[in-house]
Amino acid sequence: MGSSADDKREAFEKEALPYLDTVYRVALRLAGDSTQADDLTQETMFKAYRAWHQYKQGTNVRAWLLTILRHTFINEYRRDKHRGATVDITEFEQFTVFHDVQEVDPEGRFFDKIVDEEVLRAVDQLPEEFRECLVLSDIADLSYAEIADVMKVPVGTVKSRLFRARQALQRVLYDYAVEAGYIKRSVR
Amino acid sequence: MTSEPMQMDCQQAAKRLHELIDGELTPEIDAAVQRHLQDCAPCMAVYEFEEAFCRFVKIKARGQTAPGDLKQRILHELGLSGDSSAG
Repeated sequence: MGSSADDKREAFEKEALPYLDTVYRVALRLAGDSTQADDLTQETMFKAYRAWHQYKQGTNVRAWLLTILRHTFINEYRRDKHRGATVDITEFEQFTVFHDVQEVDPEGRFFDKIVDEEVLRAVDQLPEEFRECLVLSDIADLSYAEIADVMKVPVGTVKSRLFRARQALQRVLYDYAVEAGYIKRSVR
Repeated sequence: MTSEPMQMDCQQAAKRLHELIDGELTPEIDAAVQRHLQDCAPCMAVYEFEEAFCRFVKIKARGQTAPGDLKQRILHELGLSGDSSAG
């Protein structure tokens, strides 16, 4: 018969460890550099292991890990709230880029020419509260309710921030694609 | 008596597109948006563009994995074997 320490180790390995890559991806986008992301990921997994008895079986372990990650980031890592944010989201029209490209590329195929690094660079330019929503949704695959729970904001706020983050990201990547010559800017 | 299915105009449907993409609508509203899209080619074109963009972001932003030495360090510190698949 195994000890409770063995049971804990086994349960953590089976349920939490599979999300190590997700934790790392989110840590990278929050911290902004790989050294801090390494430390943040390690600390999150250590804290989660120590607090495993607090995890409620049957709930989303990914959301639980990311709540620990976010607390750790805010309390111990974040020094500048606006780190890396170079996009003023209030400047963006809340219109889809579709209206700009519908004549030349209605399916948005130009996006496929943009490499991963450029997409991640554009994500990193978003203001933190918008970036967090996008990362928790599109990288970590959490539901609106789970994101609201992790960020301690109403679901309506998540919905609106996520929409605006995606529209801003779309606009930044469209501008990049125009500059790179992947698509011609249309005159609206 | 069965009630009439919910109707939506372009503006109402446009507000719900990302929730539809994310699977966040109630069955009733989901069905109403889908009905509108089936009948409205311009809205369907916007939906398909937005859906493709969201898919694109997810694929591009999920490519990284935790470095091998970081994984090893965590496994070692916690005394884990690392047999479970990471994702």
